[in-house]
Amino acid sequence: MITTSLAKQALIPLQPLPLHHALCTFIITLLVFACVDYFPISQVSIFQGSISHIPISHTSISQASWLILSSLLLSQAGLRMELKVHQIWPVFFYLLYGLLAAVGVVVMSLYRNFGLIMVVIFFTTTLTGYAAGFKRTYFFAAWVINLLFILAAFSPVGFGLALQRGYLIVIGSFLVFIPRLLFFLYQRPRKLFYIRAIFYHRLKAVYQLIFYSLGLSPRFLKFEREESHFQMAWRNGLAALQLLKTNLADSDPQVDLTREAEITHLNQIWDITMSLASLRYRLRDDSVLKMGQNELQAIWQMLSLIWDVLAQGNEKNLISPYLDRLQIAIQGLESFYQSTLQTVTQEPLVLVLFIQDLYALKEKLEL
Amino acid sequence: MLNTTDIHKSTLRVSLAVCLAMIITHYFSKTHSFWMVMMAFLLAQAEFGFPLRQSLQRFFWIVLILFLSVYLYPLLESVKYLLAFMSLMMLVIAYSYAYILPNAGGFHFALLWLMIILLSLLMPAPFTTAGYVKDILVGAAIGMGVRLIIYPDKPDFEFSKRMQLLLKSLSAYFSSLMDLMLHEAGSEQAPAFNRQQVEDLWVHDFPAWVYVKGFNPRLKAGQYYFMVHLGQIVEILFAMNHFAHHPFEQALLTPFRDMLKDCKQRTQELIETTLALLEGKQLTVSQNDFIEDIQNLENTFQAHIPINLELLGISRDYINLAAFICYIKELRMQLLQLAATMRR
Repeated sequence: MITTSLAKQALIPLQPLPLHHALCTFIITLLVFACVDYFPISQVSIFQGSISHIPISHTSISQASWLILSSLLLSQAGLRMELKVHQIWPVFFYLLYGLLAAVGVVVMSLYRNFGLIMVVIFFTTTLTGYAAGFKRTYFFAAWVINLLFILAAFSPVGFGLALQRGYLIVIGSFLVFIPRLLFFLYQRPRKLFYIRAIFYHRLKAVYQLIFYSLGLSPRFLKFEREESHFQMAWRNGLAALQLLKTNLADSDPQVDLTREAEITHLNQIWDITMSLASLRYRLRDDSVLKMGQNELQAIWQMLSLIWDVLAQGNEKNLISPYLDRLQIAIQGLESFYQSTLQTVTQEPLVLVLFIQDLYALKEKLEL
Repeated sequence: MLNTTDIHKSTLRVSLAVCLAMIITHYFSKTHSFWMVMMAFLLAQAEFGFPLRQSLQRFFWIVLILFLSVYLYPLLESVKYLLAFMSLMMLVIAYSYAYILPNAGGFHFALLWLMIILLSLLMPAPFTTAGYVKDILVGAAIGMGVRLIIYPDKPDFEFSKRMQLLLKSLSAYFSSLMDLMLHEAGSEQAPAFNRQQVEDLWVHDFPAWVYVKGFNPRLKAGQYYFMVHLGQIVEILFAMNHFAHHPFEQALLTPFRDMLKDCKQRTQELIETTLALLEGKQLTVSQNDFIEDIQNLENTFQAHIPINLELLGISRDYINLAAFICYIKELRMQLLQLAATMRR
């Protein structure tokens, strides 16, 4: 995994999956422009002319632009499918998209009859809308294909140039397919690692808000605004958890039992997180928690480190020292509760349950 | 997640917007370019709940990108510069798209920007003639108009529909957790299935428009309040799942068994009442009917389990049972608050 000390301090931490996807896209971009500029695939330049020489009735885009447009748009449209499906066959959808787009663009480029064009565009827009709506995972790229059809309808050309457009789109789909296939094969054994990293980052964000609501940072938002922030954060965490569980369930059937156990384990960590989060609406007197700021800060620091280590995909034994320190921090909070908080608070049971949940979380993390 | 009816509506809207834009382009536009159709296509796809705001935002960004491309275009006339710019741009867009993807909606903004940037750079910028500017404005008006007029959003109806589905799944999940807690026959598998239903609905059918600034202020307060408290109910149920899976000693649960069953039934009745209120029925909800059983449960707990918190911590069974009963009570209070809100 590629992380640097600078990246850790960045506003958006560099995560492996988006980084590798961005690099794959970069390679596709280079390949596309290499094809355009250095190989005799398309003999026309990208630009029709400089800005001062725009034709009055300019409706066409350059031939090379078809290659660039189709490949760069398709390179992004298939990512959702790659994330959700574990098998290799969806990668071949890039070729299918390219072929459909090529055939459609060739046909649309030849039409001159406005009525016919309109009927066909209506039909393709409807069809692609349904495909993208009902099977979003596989056919999210359908709207990209429809876009190319619309562009082709407004750029009528002769048969030779129309065929060249189709040819360029097919070339473009191959330029996308090959890096995406290699990316898929590279990240397939690592995909679980990437998706785990996303989940643990999101989980850390949830814990950050939990401890923020417990008074570790000054509160400057109204209660309902804070609640909505928290809700969006844990919803994002739940989405990441769902994605992780889907990928675990689809992965190597020979390790079914291990995957099942991991899914159960993740659910348990999530459930305890929700239980810990309940303190923010159970405890009516915030001043009680202000007294235990140091203890809560110590717990948050340890949890933060643990989530970071788990997000980096390190072996569980690497979090053992942090778990020991977490145990000490929780015991510190418990001692403070017994010595001070239980006499001050009007809701002692709430704090007892919170402390017990922390112990339960620590036990789950040890497993 | 769009249901079938939503998909029909959104698809029809986009198709109509595209066709209308094509007709106007063919008969009235001087440029006969694709920009009118492109704008109509993009702006007819605003998300549910805040279509005008989102359409205006998209329109603003599209115009900004097109405007900037006028100045960028002369600088990128060399393929090398275009390659450098495109590579950098693709890196940023690809990264941001993949970073947000697990919870992103369908029509992600990054892809929209990518498309407009590519279109604006790969052909002469349209802002240089009035004809293109008119095409863009008319296309935007068509897209926004179709989006707002054809099958206009009914956020109150849609919200009620989604909340009914969610409440039903929460009721089933709660029931399965109680059955698991009481070791009812055949109760092992149901919680996992019901949990999946709740997760799917919460992640994919979440009414995100409630939290958007541009949402209808007349509806926002009520729906916002409902979502905040419903969110806490979902959290409570996830927390209860943790405790329901604890292997309690049967002897410990025996004094509470009938009361827990009673609590389960009353909670489900309250959820049914809330569902009926969501459907618009006029019902009276007596708080006393839904508090008495909880008080009985708490009293029984205090009678059978040491109330001294230090002793409570000795046995994991005691503490987990205490937590579970606390959550039943909080769930009931949250549901009563929701029902009370619906009655107003």
